[in-house]
Amino acid sequence: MGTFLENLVTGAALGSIYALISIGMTMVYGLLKILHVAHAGVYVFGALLGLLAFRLTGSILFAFPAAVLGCALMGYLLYRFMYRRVQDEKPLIPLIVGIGMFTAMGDAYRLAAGPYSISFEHGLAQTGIVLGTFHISFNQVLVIGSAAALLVLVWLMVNKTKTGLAWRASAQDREVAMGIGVNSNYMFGLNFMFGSALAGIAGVLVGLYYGAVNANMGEVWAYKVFVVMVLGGLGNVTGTVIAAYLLGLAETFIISSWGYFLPRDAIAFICMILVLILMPNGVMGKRKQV
Amino acid sequence: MDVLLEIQGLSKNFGGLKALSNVDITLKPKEILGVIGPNGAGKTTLFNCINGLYRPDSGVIRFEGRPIQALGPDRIARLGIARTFQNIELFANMRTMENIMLGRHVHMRTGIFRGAAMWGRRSFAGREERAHRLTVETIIDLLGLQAVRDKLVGGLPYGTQKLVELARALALEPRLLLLDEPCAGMTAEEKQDMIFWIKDLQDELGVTILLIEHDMRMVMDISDRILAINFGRPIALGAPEAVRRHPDVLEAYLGKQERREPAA
Repeated sequence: MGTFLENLVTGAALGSIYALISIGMTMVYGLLKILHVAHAGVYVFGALLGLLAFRLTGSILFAFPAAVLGCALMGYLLYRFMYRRVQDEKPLIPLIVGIGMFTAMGDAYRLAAGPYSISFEHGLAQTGIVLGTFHISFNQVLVIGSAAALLVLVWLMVNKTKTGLAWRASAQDREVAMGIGVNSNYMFGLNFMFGSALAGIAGVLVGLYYGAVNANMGEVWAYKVFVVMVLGGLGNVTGTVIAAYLLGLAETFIISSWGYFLPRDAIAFICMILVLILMPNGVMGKRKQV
Repeated sequence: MDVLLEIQGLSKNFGGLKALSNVDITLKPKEILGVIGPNGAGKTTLFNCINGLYRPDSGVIRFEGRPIQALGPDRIARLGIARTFQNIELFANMRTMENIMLGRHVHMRTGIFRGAAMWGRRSFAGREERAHRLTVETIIDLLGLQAVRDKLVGGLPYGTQKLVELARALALEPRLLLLDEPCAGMTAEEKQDMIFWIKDLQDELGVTILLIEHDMRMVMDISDRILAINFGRPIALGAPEAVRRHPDVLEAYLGKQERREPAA
């Protein structure tokens, strides 16, 4: 029983991180139909900025605002000076531009931070809750709790604000939304800022969770986000969140019960391929809206 | 101001196809101008040029004296031009109320940052929200949409969807309204209602209306003037009766025929 609960918590913590990273990319896809590969570069930027702020101030409380502000700004700049210029081209063009940008960002991070893992230890990492054989670490509480709070915030913004209404309208039909006065470019910019800020928070959380950040930590994520997006049904925010948690739990439980027969990323990609073949609309199974 | 919309020498090509060539229109405030023409004549292209979805190849479009042909559709909507679409373009996954509320978007000054900083009903954001809801309720009452206000529009009957689209356009409080076949696919009864409402909009709200319609009786009934176009070229402009009898219009609709004197 203890193992089951611990797997549940570990899987939920992983899922929380997957959700925070993937939402930004899903939102971009939902609105612009662009695969924003450079999003993983924003996530690494958040982790590095968070670490820098932590080193300068000595408090993890400053790591989060630094990552949020820095990544929001970076997301906006990526949109304003890169994607905006190619958003009306064939989808392949922004994809290639994004891959190029992601590669350049990775190299820039390696130049700035070196190719090795850098410790991101904080004093509370060793604390936690112990109930008999069941153990939850402070980091797990932090990750699951902050992700839950942020997901509620995202839900409120998308469903309960006027900007969210305009966002959903732009995602459904950009031309019609513009025809009733929605400034789509403004929506797109906001969308990039918001999704990037979430990715930045995810970067800091991952750094804290594993006690280290690494300039290469985005490499797998650039493509693993696709897994989450595909499982959730491309562009579907709710589906993405559900898929993120399902994937986190599946990886954890599969490895825990069957042993480490494959790296967890391999399991994730196999899941993606199976879903694409068997349920091309994602685990939510929603048919394309007419 | 005695001219609301002035179009001069408007042309739009798609490849080699001249969708519009040299169209001139002058629209006075509170006027209803009907646009007729066979399928593919360029009527919807004209609307798309006015509301900024297409950029014309040449010509000038002035709205209240200001050239708008180079502006994007969101800017043009903000200036006071709203439209409906030939094939209903509603946000199908949203409720009636949300669709109409989106029409208020141009009038909303509370952005997400300002909104996040101000909570509660007494704040600027709260008061603004209530003012917009009031306007939306007025429009819902006007068009008799109370029964469907909280329903998803995707599931509503066709005629009702047409009304919701009209309501959304009205929520912009436009000075110029472009209606692309507002009666298409409606029952005779729904058409009659729509005619009343359009007349009401002109009389009570002082909206100027540009209207595309295939139903000849309706368009003759409702329009102050009619513009007939064929192959992108204007062929007649004037009072409904005169346009209806214009030989070029008859030819466009009925094909070239030997002129036969009616039997005595």
